[in-house]
Amino acid sequence: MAKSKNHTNHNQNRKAHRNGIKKPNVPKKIALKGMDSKFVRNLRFSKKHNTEKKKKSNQMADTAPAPGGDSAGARGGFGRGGSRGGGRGRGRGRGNRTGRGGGDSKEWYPCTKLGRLVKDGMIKKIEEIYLFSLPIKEAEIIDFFLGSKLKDEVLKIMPVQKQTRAGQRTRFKAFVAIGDYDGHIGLGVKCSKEVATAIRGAIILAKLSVIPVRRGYWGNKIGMPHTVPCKVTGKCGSVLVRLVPAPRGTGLVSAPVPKKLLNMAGFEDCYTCATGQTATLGNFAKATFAAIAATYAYLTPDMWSPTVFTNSPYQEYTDYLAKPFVKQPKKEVKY
Amino acid sequence: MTIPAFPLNGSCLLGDCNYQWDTSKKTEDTILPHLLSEHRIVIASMNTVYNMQHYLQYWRNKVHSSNLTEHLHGINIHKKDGGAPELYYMLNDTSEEDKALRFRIYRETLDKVLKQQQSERESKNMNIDCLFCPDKLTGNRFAVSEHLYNEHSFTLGHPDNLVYTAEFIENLRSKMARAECLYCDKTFRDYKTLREHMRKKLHKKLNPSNTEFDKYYIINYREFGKGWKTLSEDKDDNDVSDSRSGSPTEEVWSDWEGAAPEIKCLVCSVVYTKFTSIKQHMKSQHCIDLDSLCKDLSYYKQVKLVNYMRYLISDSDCPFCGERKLPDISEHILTHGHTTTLSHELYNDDRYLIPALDNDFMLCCLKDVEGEEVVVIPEDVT
Repeated sequence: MAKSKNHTNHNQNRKAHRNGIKKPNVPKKIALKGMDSKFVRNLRFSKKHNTEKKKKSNQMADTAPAPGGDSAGARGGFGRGGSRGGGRGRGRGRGNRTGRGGGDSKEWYPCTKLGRLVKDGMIKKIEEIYLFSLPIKEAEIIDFFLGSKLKDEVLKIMPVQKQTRAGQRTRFKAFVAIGDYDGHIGLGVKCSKEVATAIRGAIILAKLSVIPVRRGYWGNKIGMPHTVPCKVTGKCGSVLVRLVPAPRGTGLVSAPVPKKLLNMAGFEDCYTCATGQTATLGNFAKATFAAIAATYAYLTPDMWSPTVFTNSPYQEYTDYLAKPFVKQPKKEVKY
Repeated sequence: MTIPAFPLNGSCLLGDCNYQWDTSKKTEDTILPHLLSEHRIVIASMNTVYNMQHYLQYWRNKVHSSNLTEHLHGINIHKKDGGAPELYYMLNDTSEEDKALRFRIYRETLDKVLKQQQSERESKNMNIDCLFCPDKLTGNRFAVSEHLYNEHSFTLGHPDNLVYTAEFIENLRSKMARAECLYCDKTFRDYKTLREHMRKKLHKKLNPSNTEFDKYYIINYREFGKGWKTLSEDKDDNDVSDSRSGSPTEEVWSDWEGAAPEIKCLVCSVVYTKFTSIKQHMKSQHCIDLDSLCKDLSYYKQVKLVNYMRYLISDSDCPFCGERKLPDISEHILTHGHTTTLSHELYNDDRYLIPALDNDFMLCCLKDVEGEEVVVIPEDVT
């Protein structure tokens, strides 16, 4: 009788597992007999180097927490999904968490001395930074102190064009104002090919330009300060803006653009006098910002008493700054 | 609060043809075949026509059935079965007029789209149903996209890159209601199988090559005639290189031009943008010389004066003589002639420091003259 089959897969697995599937025996020490001596020497050196690295990384893992791995590139980016070309704006793939409002999933590794001092709590208030006019180069510093109270507002998105060899090139320019409605305000402008990127960049620049605002009381000192402490002026381009104190209940008497800024700075009542080409709203906004900045530049009689000078944070915390610090771990590049 | 992207009905190019086409459907399906079959007109380079209706309207005003050859390119086409050659007309951007028209429509569309996006960004009360769950989504569109991303892993892209968001979501909803997959466009038996398919195949996203949704993304309006695909292939510009070079000329504030704020006349409802023009108007039409009235007055006094006049005139009382409830206030003021002074006691009340009119830009134009010292106490410096 002819066989119907010569081989089957049936039952083969059961047979193999009866005596267990044995893994091949891989010796820890490979036989070095007959190998080239230079090669063997090199092998020794590399083995030494690798064990050192392993020890160090074990140490690091104990001290610093692992960074949030998502690499969608930009800070708090959304839906960029890695590749630039495909799906721009379509959010192909899992992008990082949405930027404005959220975005606290990324760990901040400060890269300036001031940043390190702020992160480790050496500096208690943002006023200490303003007192010494230290330049703020990281937006996270502002986030650390003012974080949730800051509200941003996009003043305008406009397309700008540039003539290139290959025709015209259009980009979007975003004007953003940021403030906590209680004594701090900042302005930022950024140009980019996508609206979202321009807005994000402008918010960061606005945060870097945050300044404190001094307010005052009209007449008698009851309640909270509500108006400008004195007549202040700011100029940008041809526009000159003068802020004049006003009694409680006046409200903000000005054109719409400076009104927004004064509101964000925390003023409730103020008169404005504007001269020059007020149609250039950009210069108008910048002039108002300059005027608001001048509130703390004006020397009032209560500041006449001699100042006791203290050390700047860099001097005070030199030994702390000299200590080694945790740098941002380099991202592993997989080939 | 949805402003529809494009209004609903459009007429044909030629004035005497009564064909109406549904602008919400694709132009390739509706108006273009009609133009080709009925009138033998072809419109070239469709990607540079941003608003078909405006485009057709412009040409409708210029072109009649009789003078087609004046404006349009005539081409003789030989038919396949050897009949007499037929005359076809083509509208393309070789003519300067057409090119300028297309560019103008592009700029108008871009401005309109940016304006719409700004209003969407500021509106805090979007109220729509979620696409995937029965939740109602409120708040601004940022909250909407957060919910869609967090709960359903569905991303449309950064909300700042989108425009006409509510319409977009309605569009997607109607698509899903027809049991069509958002990604692969296949139709299924019912809604349940569609959801299963989208879950298993991870089709909870949009197909980038699908041009149906192009009009909802701002990037497609950025360059004249280029969609996002050609832009991404453009190796000419890079975000990184620009930010590194700084491009200080591009990040200036001075090129933001807007409308100068308007100043309302004290008596009538005429508005001007320049302070000198409104003063001239009031001097000639109403015999009110603001310059002489405000001469030698400190800033606060001037503010009080203007507010006093505004308060009284709005109540139909004359600010000069005190007569009340006058029927025609502008006539009455003319009878005073050029009154040069207004008695100080009349307006020296602190309540006239509060502006009578909201956003009264006239107060911002008054000259700031040093006058009486006002007591303003600055806050403590900590």
